[in-house]
Amino acid sequence: MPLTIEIHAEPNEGKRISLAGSLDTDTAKQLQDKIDHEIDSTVHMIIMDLKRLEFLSSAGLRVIFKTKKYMDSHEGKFMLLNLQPQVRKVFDIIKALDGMNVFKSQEEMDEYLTAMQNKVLDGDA
Amino acid sequence: MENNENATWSKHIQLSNRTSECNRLFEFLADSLEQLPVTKEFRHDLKLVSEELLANIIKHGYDSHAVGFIDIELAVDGRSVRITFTDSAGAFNPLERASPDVLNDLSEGGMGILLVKSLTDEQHYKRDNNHNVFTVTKNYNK
Repeated sequence: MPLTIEIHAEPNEGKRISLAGSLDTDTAKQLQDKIDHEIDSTVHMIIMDLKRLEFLSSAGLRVIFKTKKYMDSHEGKFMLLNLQPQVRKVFDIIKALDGMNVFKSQEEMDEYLTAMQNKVLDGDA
Repeated sequence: MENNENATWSKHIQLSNRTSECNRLFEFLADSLEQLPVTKEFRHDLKLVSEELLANIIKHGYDSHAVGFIDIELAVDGRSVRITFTDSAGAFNPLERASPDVLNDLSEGGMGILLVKSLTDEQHYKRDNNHNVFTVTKNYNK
């Protein structure tokens, strides 16, 4: 199964990366190359939407971790969204969800972001 | 004694050491397991395990410019599925890797073998006549 990658701008210097298909040892490089090309330190938030991702293996997980690490390094945000059960299972086995912002839906993520923004506005950094 | 309709059989495929062979692997697994009374999750687990093992062999095995072959045998005996990966690369036993500090290390293969161990009931490695032979077994009929 191939991998389809769509990257769209999000408010607040964010990018939404939507994946469809299979992120495996054959397609992982394609994603890494795309991220290397499109993401730099001016990107303050990445939302990785996995709603249409059917399959994930450790090769793909490595790209995701590397991206999160990169965002951490310049205090950017990294959010994972809409994991299908079999994809979530991979994260669970690797115990990779700790320290990750994972959301079940767009609505859940929006609530979180609004709360964070309100915190900032209230002066609670 | 119940009449075991799930006769013992095995299927075989040979892949070359290119990651694009994943697709042939996935097709092979889907076709082989099609008639088996197993869940979607079971099929996914074996697909993931196989992908991890193939990726490991391609990465650690053959020198990147060498053409190498990987033999895969899938055997069913009415109670379990056994998949055997045979390659002629240098000796490499993935079970001997130390557990990685996954998130800080991002060590190649470490996450893969963790997934393989979690999703199969038995794993076995042997070196046989200059070949690595790695077998995983997953039970479906207890």
